[in-house]
Amino acid sequence: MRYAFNESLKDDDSGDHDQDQSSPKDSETIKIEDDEKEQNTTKKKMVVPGAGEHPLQYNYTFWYSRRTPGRPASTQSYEQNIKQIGSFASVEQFWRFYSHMIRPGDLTGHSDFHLFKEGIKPMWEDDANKMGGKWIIRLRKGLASRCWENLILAMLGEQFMVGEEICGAVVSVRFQEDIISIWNKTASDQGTTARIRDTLRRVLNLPPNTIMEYKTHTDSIKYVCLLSLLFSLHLLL
Amino acid sequence: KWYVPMNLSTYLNFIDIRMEVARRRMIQKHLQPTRPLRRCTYNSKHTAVKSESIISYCRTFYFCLTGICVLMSVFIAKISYSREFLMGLASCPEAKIKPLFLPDNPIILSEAVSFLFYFILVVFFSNNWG
Repeated sequence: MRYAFNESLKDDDSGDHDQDQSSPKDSETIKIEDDEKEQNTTKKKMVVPGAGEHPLQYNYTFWYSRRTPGRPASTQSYEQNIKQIGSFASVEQFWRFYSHMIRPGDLTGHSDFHLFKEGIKPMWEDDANKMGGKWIIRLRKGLASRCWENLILAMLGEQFMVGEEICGAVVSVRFQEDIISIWNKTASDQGTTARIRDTLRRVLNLPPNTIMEYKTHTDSIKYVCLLSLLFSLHLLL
Repeated sequence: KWYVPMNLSTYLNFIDIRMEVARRRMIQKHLQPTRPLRRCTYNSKHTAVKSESIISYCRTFYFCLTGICVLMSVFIAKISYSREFLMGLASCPEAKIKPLFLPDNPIILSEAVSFLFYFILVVFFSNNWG
């Protein structure tokens, strides 16, 4: 039973599924508050493009999260796990960060890289995300680095042409496969989601038979709530 | 009882009065053409002033609109880059400077990754999905 539960967690998608819906412990709360303060102070310091640099349409922030796969999700807070790496406002600044980070293909364990617009947290509960969803592509091992790079370059270069709909992108390194996903603001806007899907196919040069799945964040939340409930029942029994 | 003057003098007097009224009307009609002339002179000046002000307003509006459009195009126009352009900037010296205040984390490298080798790999495997 436990094994099956852990497996089902692993098999879920895109790195954000292990967001904890339960309230953290008191000791954790203080830490989270400190983290929030840190993040808020970072937010206030808006990055700007340097002189002669190529500005981006939006400022972006790199995030990194890692979870110990064996540990149940309920004991850890998703927000506690996710670490802000830094924000950038120009192409040059992006390369500075990117060239000093290891590639997703070299990551080990249950790790995620997130690249989100500055001010948007890579969480379902964020105001920009709560009505949104994501396109998910499951990749066999060895393709994550290239796909991730193509995906974020398309996002930074404004290749999706869907206005302000894009929130960010995630690459999730898992045991048997890697998952990349792109998050948008409005899940109900079918025209936008279709355009994102088509652009994704083009920029990643995906074969026509590639399975792409769209998942709303509300569905993801329901799924995690159900898992938490099942896990609680499992502990009780 | 009704009093009806039936003598001739009264009848003549009545006709005279009618004639006088008709003459007055004729005089009034004769004076009428001066009005339009005066009105015309006044109006031409007024409309000339008005048209000048309208033109100046239009000019101002046009320049304002143009200015706003230019500003809007600067702020609204999307800054987009192709993948090749972005990749081209990866090898610039600015891209190799390590950002300040990076967190102490195993995912952070001490030195920048060379993109030349990586770029060759990407080109080589670009259509190889296996």
